[in-house]
Amino acid sequence: MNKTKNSRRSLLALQITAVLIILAFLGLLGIRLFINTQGQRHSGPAPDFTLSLFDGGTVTLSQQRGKVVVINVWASWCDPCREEARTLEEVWQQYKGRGDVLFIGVNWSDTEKQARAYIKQYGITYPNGPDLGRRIGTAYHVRGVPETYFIDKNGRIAEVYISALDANTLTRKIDKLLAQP
Amino acid sequence: MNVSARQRHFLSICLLLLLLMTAFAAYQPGLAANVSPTPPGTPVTQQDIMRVAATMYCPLCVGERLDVCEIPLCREMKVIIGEKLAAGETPAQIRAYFVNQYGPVVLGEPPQKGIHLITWLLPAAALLLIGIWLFLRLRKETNTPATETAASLITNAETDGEAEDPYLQQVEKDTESW
Repeated sequence: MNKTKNSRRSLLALQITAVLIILAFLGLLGIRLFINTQGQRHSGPAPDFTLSLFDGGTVTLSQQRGKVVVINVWASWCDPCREEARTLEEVWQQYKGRGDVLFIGVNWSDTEKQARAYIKQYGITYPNGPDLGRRIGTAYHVRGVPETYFIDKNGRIAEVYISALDANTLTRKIDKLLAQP
Repeated sequence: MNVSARQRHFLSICLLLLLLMTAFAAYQPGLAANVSPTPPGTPVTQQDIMRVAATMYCPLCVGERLDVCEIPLCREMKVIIGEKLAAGETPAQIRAYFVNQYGPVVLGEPPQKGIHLITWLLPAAALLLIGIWLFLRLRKETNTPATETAASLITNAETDGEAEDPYLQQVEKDTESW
């Protein structure tokens, strides 16, 4: 009688463990699915990062408080990125003297050689660096390129633009953020 | 079906599911390829590049191996593999370089730290559970002698049959007087 009881108990313990493992496995799949289906970060505090630049030095986002920061995520293999490359540099030239606007180029899923060639080809002068280990891309939920994040003076994501930018749209967005306290 | 049999049936389904999940989780084609470094001075061939590329995945595509991937980034990555092999780097060093560039996604397996450890531990836990279940099951089977079980089954069948079949009861009653 006792033997049967013990056997049933161990059977029940095995069942519970098996069910828990199945639930944990399904939970993991669920988490992955949730992460994969999440869109870009379009509001809230901008995740901080320190970018090592192609031409040496670093730039840290949290040290740019009080400035409007335009983070452009790009890759050399991306055609729309090439469409907006000259526009970004032209607009940067308009604002760089003010001191309250900063452009940061984040090179995503690219090779260094190709990225350097791209920067040279379009004469890009604002800080640019590779997203090593795709840490910035992961923090901002980057889904592709180009993506441009507009960070307000308080270090919050004001907007994300997913496409090639034209000069009018870009200046309008920057001016709007500059007008904010 | 009594409670115990139902429980066993349920457990069998659970364990079968676990086994399938373990097989699914353990499927890591990248791990299967154990590539040795190219000896120094040996010219790097396309085959050498492909052997290393076959142990990695495209960082942009979903589950596409680098050796069969033909998007511009993959092509560039294969060029870099060739350059690094020619410079005498080992496949492990090359893989580490790409992990640093694009993250662990290039290895096609979750990192062995933090929350990702669960994905490594779950299959092991599932295998352990299946092992315990098999052990208990086999021990129970070996503790019950087959002849004893068979004999008791026959006796039970005979007794049950006699008790329940009215025709047999009548035949027995009629033949008793002979």
